[in-house]
Amino acid sequence: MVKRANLIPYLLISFAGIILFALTIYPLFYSLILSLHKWSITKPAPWKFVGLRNYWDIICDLVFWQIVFNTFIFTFSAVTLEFIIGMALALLFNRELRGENTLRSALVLPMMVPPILVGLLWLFMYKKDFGIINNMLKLLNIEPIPWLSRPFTAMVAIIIADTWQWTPFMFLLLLAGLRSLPQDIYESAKIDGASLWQSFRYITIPLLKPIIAIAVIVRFMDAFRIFDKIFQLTEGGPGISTETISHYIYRHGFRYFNMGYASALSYLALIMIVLFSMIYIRILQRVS
Amino acid sequence: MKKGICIFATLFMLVSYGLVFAGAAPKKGKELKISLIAGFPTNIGIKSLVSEFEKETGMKVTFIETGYGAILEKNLVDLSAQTGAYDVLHVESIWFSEYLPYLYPLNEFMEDSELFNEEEYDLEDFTSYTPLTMDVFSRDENLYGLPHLAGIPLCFYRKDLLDKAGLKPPKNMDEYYKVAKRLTQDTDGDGTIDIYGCALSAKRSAIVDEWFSFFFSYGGGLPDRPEQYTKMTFNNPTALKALKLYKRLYDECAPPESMTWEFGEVGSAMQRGVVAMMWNWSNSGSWYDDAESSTVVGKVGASVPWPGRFGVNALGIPKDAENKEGAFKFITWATSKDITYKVTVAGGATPCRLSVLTNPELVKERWWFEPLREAGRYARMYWIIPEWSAIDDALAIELQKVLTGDISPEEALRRASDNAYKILEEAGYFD
Repeated sequence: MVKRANLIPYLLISFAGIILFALTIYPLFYSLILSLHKWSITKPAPWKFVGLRNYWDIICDLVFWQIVFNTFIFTFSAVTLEFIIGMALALLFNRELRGENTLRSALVLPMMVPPILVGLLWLFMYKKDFGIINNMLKLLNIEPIPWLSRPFTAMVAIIIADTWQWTPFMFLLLLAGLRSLPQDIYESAKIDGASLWQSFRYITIPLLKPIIAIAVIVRFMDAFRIFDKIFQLTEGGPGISTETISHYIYRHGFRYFNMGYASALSYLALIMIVLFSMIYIRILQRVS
Repeated sequence: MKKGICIFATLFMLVSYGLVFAGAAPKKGKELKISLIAGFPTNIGIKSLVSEFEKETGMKVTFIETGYGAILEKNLVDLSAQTGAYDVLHVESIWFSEYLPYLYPLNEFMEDSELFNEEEYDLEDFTSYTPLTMDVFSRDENLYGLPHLAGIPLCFYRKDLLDKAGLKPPKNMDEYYKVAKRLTQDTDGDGTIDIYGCALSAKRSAIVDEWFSFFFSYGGGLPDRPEQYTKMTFNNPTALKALKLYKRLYDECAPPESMTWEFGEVGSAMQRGVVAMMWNWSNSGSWYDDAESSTVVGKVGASVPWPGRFGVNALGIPKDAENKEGAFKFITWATSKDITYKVTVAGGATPCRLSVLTNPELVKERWWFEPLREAGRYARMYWIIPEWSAIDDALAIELQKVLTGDISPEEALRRASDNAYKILEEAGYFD
């Protein structure tokens, strides 16, 4: 009986282990092996081992570095904007507000919309002749802008769409953080004559650092992988001005069907995300 | 009690899984799963008529529609995993080489007189329109698909605007530019353009098809085989002339948002009456006379000032199809003379059977059929190779950069040529 009872935890864990192995570990190893081969789904020939050739080709490709640059521009801009607006909203909501629940529900709605629909929604809003944004600009006597037709405005358009969708995530996390802060420190600071800005700068920010770190890292990793909005709004264009790593991987994997090359690209993207997250955490720790 | 709940839950799960998998298992010989590209006008007709086929054969037909932008990868992933997910595939000519390793040749069925009546089916009805119709889907004397619709880019123009300006429909690229330039107008004098001379399909996924019409019309072209490609194929004075004209049209005569437009958007611009002319696929012909969505009913005409890509679509059978014979019956039914006619009437499709294209009743109603028939004489095809998607994209990126003014046309063609060469070299065409 004792032996049988001891087996149960292992049995239960084994289910989770099998699922983890089948859905995470096996595909990871499979794609790692694939990244060392040349193989196209449109030519069902055996895999051809090429060693690190795919990685070398990617590193030597100037287009890849342009795309890495685009990805970082997008990621840093979107996450920074989302953080600033999210923090402002969280501070606003961290006090008694009439109709707070309704307002908060309305604010988090964009987060519930599938990203591909967000892309479609903004595609119509950016239309030059009947899009709502240009109609508003017309009311202000500003010439309509062909948002998605110029490299700079196209990137701005994608950043705005992403910020609209993901600011609520920052807002929710930061608001939860703010509400968990001890109030007695603020009261002491107030008695000592600290201004609102000083309370925010020297109490709120330092205490909120762990929450900020989590919110920013999660958004950074997610924004770095942006695909749906790019796919829907610009297909990476004009030229490659809004092409990001995920879209580039998609192009190689599911447009040109170079599966080995696409796998190598995926691994390089993964390495970049891990590296930058580690650097960010290290900086935060040092600052703390 | 707890034990009972556990046993009940386990049994419930097993029964549920059993039911799910039983439901997913194909009923061999009784069911046909047809993969179609969503949004094609032929779908409307085929779906409305399929009950006739079901009644005749006793088979149940299920349609699985997937958008144009996603169907290739979705189907190839299924086919490479040999899931047997489909019995019939809708194959766009430009993707034929990608599908080829997974397609089953139709020859053995076509040689079976019980399954195929050659006289009644009339293959010549396709080839007399253009031989490309059948050539595209043939490899090594095997036929892998039967065509069910075709499209060629035509020049659609506003008859009323041209008449008012005393202009005639353009017959070549230079005339197209001149007319577009004349018709780009600020009609209310407020300093903004109200009607653009032309709309361009300059989106990354569409720009190459349009630019190729310009390139072809100036006498440019591709060598017969990719092995003959040189770095001069796209980097030559003809290609440069075509690109410079394309850039002038974008700068002077087209809405700036044309950069994000393709088939649907340019058609919509014509329907809204904001453009005077455009390069667009013949399938869009019926949109302009649709009183529910068009403001230009009866005002649009079509001409053929350029050779365009022959975008023919066929129905084929995947190697892993459960019911190949049933699938063959379906594709011969769906592409037969009678059904092609009915599908054309029902859904506004553009047929690739000459008998339907020249049917007097249809031609009377569908004014774009006559230009479409003429366009068949000049239609071209690109190389049907798996690397074409990458070459197309390499060209598209550089062409768009020219439109945004990032690089010169000369630089763009040099880069595009080098990139295309690299793609073909990598694939082993020059070994």
